[in-house]
Amino acid sequence: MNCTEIQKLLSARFDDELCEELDIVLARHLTRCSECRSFQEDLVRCVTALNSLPVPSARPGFASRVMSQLPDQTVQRAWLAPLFPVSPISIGFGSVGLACGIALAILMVSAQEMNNTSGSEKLSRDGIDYSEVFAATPVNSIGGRYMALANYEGK
Amino acid sequence: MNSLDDQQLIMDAGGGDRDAFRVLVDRHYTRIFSYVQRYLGSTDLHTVEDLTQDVFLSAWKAAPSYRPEAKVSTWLLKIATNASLNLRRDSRLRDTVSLPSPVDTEIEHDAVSQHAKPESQLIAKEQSDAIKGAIESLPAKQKAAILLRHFDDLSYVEIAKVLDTSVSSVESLLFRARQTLRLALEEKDDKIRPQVFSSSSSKE
Repeated sequence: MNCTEIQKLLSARFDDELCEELDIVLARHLTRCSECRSFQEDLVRCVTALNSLPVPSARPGFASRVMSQLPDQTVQRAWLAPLFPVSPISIGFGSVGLACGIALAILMVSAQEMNNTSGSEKLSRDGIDYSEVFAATPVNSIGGRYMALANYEGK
Repeated sequence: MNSLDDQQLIMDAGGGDRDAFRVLVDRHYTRIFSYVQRYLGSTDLHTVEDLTQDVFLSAWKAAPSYRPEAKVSTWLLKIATNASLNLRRDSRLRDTVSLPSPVDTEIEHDAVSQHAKPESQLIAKEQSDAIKGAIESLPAKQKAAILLRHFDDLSYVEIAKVLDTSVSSVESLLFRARQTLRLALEEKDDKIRPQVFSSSSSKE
């Protein structure tokens, strides 16, 4: 380990954030490195200087002033909490997703029903029998059926 | 109410309980105020109070969505860090006229009467000023890390949560910040040694 790495460890040891193994490595290095010992002394000076800084304090009545500024809390989440233990944003996204899912499902069922209507069935609208249209033009999609119908009516 | 822990109080506040929130404000405002004041440096008292008030307003609004992933004090410090950072970025701060804080006034007073003080006190004062100036000049995250560690006694894990970063990153931030502070003290030493010497000579 070089001195920069050791000094980084020294900084961590100062905060009691160093594991025992590295602590031993550090101690060994310090016995033979005056530069790192000097760094350690400087750290102590830094902390002493930091501790000498005055503690700022707010004027009396500060907490009351904060409280007087509070708007009414939105309590909706409180009674919804047991039902939806997630954030309101998540609930919003979830609702949109659910609505989209339902709409898609309805659309697919409708399409399926239309496709299930075979050419052999008796299809009629406005007194016209369209069975032969679909029988003549096998189609498997909604768009295809409309195309076939348009072609037939255009004839 | 006072016997309830912070987690319970913030949950109650999320449901609209003002009394619960009042207890939280009473418990934490000194800490948040000090942190904001140190973060902003030599700005005026009113700006610090306004920002601290904004921190608690934000906490009140966010209380319904609070999740007990971190201590309430850490959560408040995170809000305070973001608010201070935003204010620093905001050009309004540059337009703020600094009023003399009690600390500044004390410095001026000391400057007048410094001849009457022993050298050791003068050196301590100079060091204190140097470290204060060095903290102000630190990059935002280094500054937050050093303040959270030294004055709020947060662990590396807690600092990482406040700063949205990793523990190893916190280690680096603190190391770099301390190097800067160390250099500032060294520079100050070089400047004050001749002053102290001349002061001692003039007394003789």
